Amino acid sequence: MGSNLFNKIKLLKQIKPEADFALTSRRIILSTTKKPHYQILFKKQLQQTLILSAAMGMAVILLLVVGQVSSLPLDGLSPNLISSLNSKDLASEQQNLDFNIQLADAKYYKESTTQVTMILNIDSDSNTIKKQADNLDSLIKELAL
Amino acid sequence: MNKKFLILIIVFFIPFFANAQITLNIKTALQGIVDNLGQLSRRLTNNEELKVRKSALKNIIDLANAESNDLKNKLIKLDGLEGDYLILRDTFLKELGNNSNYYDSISLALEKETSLVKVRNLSTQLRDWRGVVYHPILGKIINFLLVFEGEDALKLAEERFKNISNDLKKVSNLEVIKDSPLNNLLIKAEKSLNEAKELQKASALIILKSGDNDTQQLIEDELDKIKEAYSHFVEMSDWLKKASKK
Repeated sequence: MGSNLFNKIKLLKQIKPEADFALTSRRIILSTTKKPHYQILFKKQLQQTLILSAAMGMAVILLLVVGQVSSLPLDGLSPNLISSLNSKDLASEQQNLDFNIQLADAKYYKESTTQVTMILNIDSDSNTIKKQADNLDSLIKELAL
Repeated sequence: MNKKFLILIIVFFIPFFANAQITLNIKTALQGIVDNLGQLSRRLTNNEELKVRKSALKNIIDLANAESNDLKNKLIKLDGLEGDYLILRDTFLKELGNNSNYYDSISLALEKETSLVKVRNLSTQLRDWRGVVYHPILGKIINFLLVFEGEDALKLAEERFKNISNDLKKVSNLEVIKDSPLNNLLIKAEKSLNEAKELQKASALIILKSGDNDTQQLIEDELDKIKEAYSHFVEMSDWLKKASKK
């Protein structure tokens, strides 16, 4: 039984492909172009980079979300949360109030008319002029902005 | 003229006027008058005095014309006037035009004068005319301008209030906002603006009826109220800045 099996195995060793098939297969294998080594390396590198970028992106998004949440009711307010309370805009509008309502102009006209009247009042005696000068002096001090 | 009086005018005239937003023509005319006053303070012959007084009167007429043009420009620039306010504005423009005609007639007469007495008479004539015609209308025009300048300032403040109010509503659910002084400050600002609005309405009615000097006080009070509202806005802004740093 044992020697019979041994003989059969020996017969299997003699099995070979047909000469034509072997020749065709050999030609096909030899005609196939081999991929260069650097292409394989590049592909691997690209895959690694993409995976790393995705991981970094996720990490950044996570940090932003956590940061936003912690900056609201927990640690305080973002100054930009109420943009209409921007201190620069407010200061500018506040400063322009006196410019927009020309009370200084009104005072100028009032004072100017008084001054011109006095200058035109050429026949005034010296006492009257002195009194006018005193009044004018206190008025000008009051108006000095 | 008294020398001390002249010096006082020269010393105080220019610094005071520098505070108002007056035109270059007004400033030039004022400088001319100041120069004339300086010359008049010295001892002069009759001919010299005639020349200086003519020059001074000419400068005063130039100043009056420059002021008149300044007021005309300010009146023309007012936007959105309607009804009685538009009619009143046009009346003022017409009266300022009449004033210019009067100044031209005095200027023409002045050029021909060779007598010191007659030049002095022209000065007196101009002074009296200004007292009767120019001063009353000038006061009304100034008040009219102030009322509409006040209205613009109030509109800007109300717009700011509206924006802050809307922004605050968006974040009203946050605990930090609920516990903050922001809402109370906004209420205070609203109160100040409402008071400013009442003063504005009152002044706008007065200029139609009489245009008297009380209007100016109303506008000053209105400006104070608008400033009060802004001080509350600034307080809110400061609180927000501090809260964001915590």
